[in-house]
Amino acid sequence: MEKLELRDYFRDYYVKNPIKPPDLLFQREIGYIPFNGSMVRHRMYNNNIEIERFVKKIVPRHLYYSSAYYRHPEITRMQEKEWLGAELIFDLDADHIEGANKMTYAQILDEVKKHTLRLINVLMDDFGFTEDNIHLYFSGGRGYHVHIESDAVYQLDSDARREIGDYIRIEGINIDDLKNLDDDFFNYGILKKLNNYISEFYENIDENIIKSILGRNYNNYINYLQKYFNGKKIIDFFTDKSGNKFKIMDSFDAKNKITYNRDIFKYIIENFKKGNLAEIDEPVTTDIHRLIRFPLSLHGKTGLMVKPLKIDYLRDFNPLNEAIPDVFKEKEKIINIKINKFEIAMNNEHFILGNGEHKVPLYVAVFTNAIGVSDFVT
Amino acid sequence: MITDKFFVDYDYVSSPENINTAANSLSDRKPMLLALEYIKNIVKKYADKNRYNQVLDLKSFGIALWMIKLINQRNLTSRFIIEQRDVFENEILRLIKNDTESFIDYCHRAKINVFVSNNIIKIPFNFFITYNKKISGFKYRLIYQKMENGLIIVDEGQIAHLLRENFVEKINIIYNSINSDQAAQIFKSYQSEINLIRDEFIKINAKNEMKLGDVDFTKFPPCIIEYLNEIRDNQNLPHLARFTLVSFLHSIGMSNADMINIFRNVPDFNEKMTTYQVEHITGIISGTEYSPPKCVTLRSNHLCYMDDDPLCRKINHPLEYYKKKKFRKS
Ligand code: SF4
Repeated sequence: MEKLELRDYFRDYYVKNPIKPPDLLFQREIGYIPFNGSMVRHRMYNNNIEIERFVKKIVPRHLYYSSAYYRHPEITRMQEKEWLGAELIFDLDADHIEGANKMTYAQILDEVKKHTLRLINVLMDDFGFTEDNIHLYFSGGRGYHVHIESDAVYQLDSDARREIGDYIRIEGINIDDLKNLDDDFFNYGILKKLNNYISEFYENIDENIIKSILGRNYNNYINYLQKYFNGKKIIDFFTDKSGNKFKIMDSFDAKNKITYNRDIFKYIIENFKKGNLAEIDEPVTTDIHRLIRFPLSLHGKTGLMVKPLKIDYLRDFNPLNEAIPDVFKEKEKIINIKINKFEIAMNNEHFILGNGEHKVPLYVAVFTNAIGVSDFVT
Repeated sequence: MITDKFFVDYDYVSSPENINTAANSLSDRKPMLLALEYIKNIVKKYADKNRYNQVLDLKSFGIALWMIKLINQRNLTSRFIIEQRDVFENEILRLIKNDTESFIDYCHRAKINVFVSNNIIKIPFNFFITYNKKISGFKYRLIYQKMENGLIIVDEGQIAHLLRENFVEKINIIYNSINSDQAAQIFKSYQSEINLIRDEFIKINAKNEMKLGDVDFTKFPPCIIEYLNEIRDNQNLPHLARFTLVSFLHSIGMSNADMINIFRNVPDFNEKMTTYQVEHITGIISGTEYSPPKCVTLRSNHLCYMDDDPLCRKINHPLEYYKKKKFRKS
């Protein structure tokens, strides 16, 4: 019963609002999760009219399309589908954000947004994609999806996509490799950022930071500097006199068998990554057969829209105001809150709902019901 | 301009008419004779596990490729392609250094976007990550590239390596598209000679076949099979792949002597070194028996070949694959 009522509201949405099919719809595999039953895959629709008709009839709880293009999207066996290419997909989600379980929904969305902005910057500056190639969506849940549509990516296999993923997540930077790179490398991409970061790091630290990094070795370190560096307290091990990076990294205290710069570098790179990487779900990016949420469909666990966004607008976008379907704004509904307290700001209104019955706007009813903290009262 | 000394023109090589004309020309028999001679020599050298990378001209190269298709022996084909791959790399490097115009012209014909100005070579990032896979070393990881606006500045060695991999891909595509009947037609008058070469090769190959001892080859995961195939095709394996292979085979009970025998097939085989490495990994020297890396590690080093293998989706370690298969009822 419950689920079916939610489905009625979804139907209302789909009847009044078109979804936004991807290009070459007839080459895409369509999948969905119905309100009662499990995942259905390998569907194919020839055009927008067909898929609209299907969505209005079935009213899926979740709707997906394949990032891949196939000659035969309807065939079940992967090998026989005949893969023709695939968009490049990035999924940014709270699951990959450190400390997300202690944040509110709104805080999570803000944090994920930060990572999304970083991703988009790298995609534009380093990879050279333009606004025409980058399609950005609010996922309807706890994050954002970025789809790249460009001839430069369609044919890339999983391994090649993993390289991109590693780049975005700044995976695999290693002190010994860096030593072997000419200075010129530090004028580009991630290494340029790292280079600047190190300079700033040394401009802004005091002894205490070094102390905290080196722990028990701090005294040895001070003695070491006393001996070789006239007792200066802070030495930038990574930059030589002419400003070149990574040339004198082997500062090694032979007596104590300690290489201080390695510990410091570890600290630097960790912090550098924290401030610069974009936490993407890498398996999504490397999977060339992935199903991804259908633009302008509803997310079955929130009732929010998978909403296309202009890149410029991302900074100001507030999903809890702007991903609410209009059809859910027009009505009110009585719900029974099943937990002690539920609090959320939606549609510029702040709701604090205690255990028990409340009359609320339909979007709050749908949202709380979809995430499972309320029942509809009929 | 590319002279006809430089042997790669993909359009030329893929056209049966061109090959037919070159192979059966009455006025100029040189290319045909050269191609025959070349293939005979590869077979001869194959017996002694030696390399034979001689530069061929365009016509001889085309004829040889088609003939190799007709002979249809997997190991001979891969040997031929590997030899020519190395020739290609040397030649392209020469062009990059001394004859920029021909280099650019080659890329243009091969439909590869390169941008050269003031001796700086730039390529699109997608070309880089498509062809860097089989090349090991940090210099070929994307994270260490000079990338800006989708273009990567590469040095001469890098671009030559990447073009080499692209060459192999293109030649494989052409090879696979060659129609064997058509090839037979073209080389009709050389049929008995070609049959002789084939017989000779089969004989040598049988001697070289590697022996796997008592272990059950059919239960190996795709990655291990791929490494073994590459060795059988006389390719050099990246270090991590060798390590994985040895520790894997050791774990499932293969003897060190059998393993060393397998490595006899790789081009840079060195008995002393190999013995040392094998004994190190299996614990005779080091005292530690190493076990193979996990799938994630192999994957991030481009050494996982799971493709659509359903069992690979469920496991995290190559040995797990072997064990699961072994104890499964077939
Ligand atoms: S998934 Fe593991 S076992 Fe399978 S091919 Fe990849 S590395 Fe090997």
